[in-house]
Amino acid sequence: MSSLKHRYGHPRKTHHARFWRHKHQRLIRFVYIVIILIILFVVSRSGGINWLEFYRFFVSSLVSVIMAYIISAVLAVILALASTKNKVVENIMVPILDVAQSFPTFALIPILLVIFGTTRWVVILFLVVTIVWPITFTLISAIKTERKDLSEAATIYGARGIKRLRYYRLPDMFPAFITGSIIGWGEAWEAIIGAEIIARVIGVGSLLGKISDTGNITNLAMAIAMYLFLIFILNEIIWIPLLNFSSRYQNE
Amino acid sequence: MIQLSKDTQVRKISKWYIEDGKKFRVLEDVSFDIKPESFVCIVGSSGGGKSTLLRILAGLEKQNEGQILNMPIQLGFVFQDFALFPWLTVSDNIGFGLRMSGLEKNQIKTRVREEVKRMGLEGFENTHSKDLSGGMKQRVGIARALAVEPNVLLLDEPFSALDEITAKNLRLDLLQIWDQTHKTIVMVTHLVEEAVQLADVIIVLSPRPGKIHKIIQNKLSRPRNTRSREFFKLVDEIEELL
Repeated sequence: MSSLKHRYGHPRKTHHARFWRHKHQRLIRFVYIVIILIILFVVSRSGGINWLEFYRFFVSSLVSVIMAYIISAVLAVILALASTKNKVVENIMVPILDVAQSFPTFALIPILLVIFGTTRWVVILFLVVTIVWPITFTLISAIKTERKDLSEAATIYGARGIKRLRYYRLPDMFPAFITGSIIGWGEAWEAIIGAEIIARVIGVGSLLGKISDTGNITNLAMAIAMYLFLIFILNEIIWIPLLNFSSRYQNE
Repeated sequence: MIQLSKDTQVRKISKWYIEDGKKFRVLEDVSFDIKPESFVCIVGSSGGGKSTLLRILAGLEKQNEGQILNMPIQLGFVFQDFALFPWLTVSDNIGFGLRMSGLEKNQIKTRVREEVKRMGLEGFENTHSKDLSGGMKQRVGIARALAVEPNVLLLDEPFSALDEITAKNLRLDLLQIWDQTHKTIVMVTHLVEEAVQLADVIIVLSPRPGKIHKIIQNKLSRPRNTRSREFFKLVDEIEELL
């Protein structure tokens, strides 16, 4: 069959799946991260903080946050998909989730301590309860405001069951998943400080508590600055590139 | 290529919605036949139930009353706002239906290549829909519909989101596709000229609720001269009905 001659000029430049799109952006980010790192390093030489211990504790907290995030992400996707399955389920589940998310999370710590003792699991489960809601509700909102014609196109062209999930539902909610994750991840780093102090679990939170107890304000300020800086770095290398990448999945 | 062997019969279709205890009639007692390989246009004023009728034909909505007989299973649907998956490239969008049907990768590739060529999309295979112009997006939409080798191609105001020059070109391309593939085409439009230019059969719907006002057999010879006296006469005749 002969081709229909197209009349629309040359193809525009195609873009490829890259987390880092612009080289100069990457360079600028790298330069200011190095500058902040140098400043912190120079200042820290005069402080009385054991930085090796600080990083070790930070990694320990990071492991908790990552584990909690993975559990929350899976849970949030299941909750969002289940609660929007149909109107009847939605009318029952969404109000329940709404009440559950308003439950004060710190009130859970004593219960978790009774069940798990002073173990890392107390912190991880506490973080799960913190992270899961922003992701769940962002996903529910995305599903409820989906573009009707895209959903219909998926139906017409045979996307059913697991294939619908894999090739339509999950890609369609990916931008909302990243947005919800960024909020949840941020809240987790805020919540972990208190959780580690209360549960007396090794981590950056309990270390900040310890430094605070010494009364040395300079050391505390230095440690908090370093803490914020490390979270900032994680955002720069994980979430900002993922956010840029997810814009590809965004509907017009 | 499997084509329709019998007329599709739309019989006494009615559709209504209940909102706040009130019944809103969208379609009432709509009946017509679709002959195999014919080009049918459904025209009517805005909000007159044209798109609902097409969506019922596609199985996207259920009618409250009536039935559709001999409707083929394999359908292609072209959307007004293209409905391309933004996360997929042009090739992957075209091959979406084939992928869902479980066709082998090589066969998908071959079919996609054919449609890319047919719709003049060469060089755009790896482009994402966001980077395409409206006209190119609708070409992808049509290619996606043709890729599944449908018996019936349903189009819901496919050119109304495009500028007039692009729409004009795409209308000619659609006629060429129809001529080459002998597909049955059912298209919804609010533009009477478009219907007169393209269709063999023009179904005129009256608004709220949508009822069959008149079914017009368009006997104008092809290729149609859109500037001829006969063309304008038929356009005027239909416009008076609306």
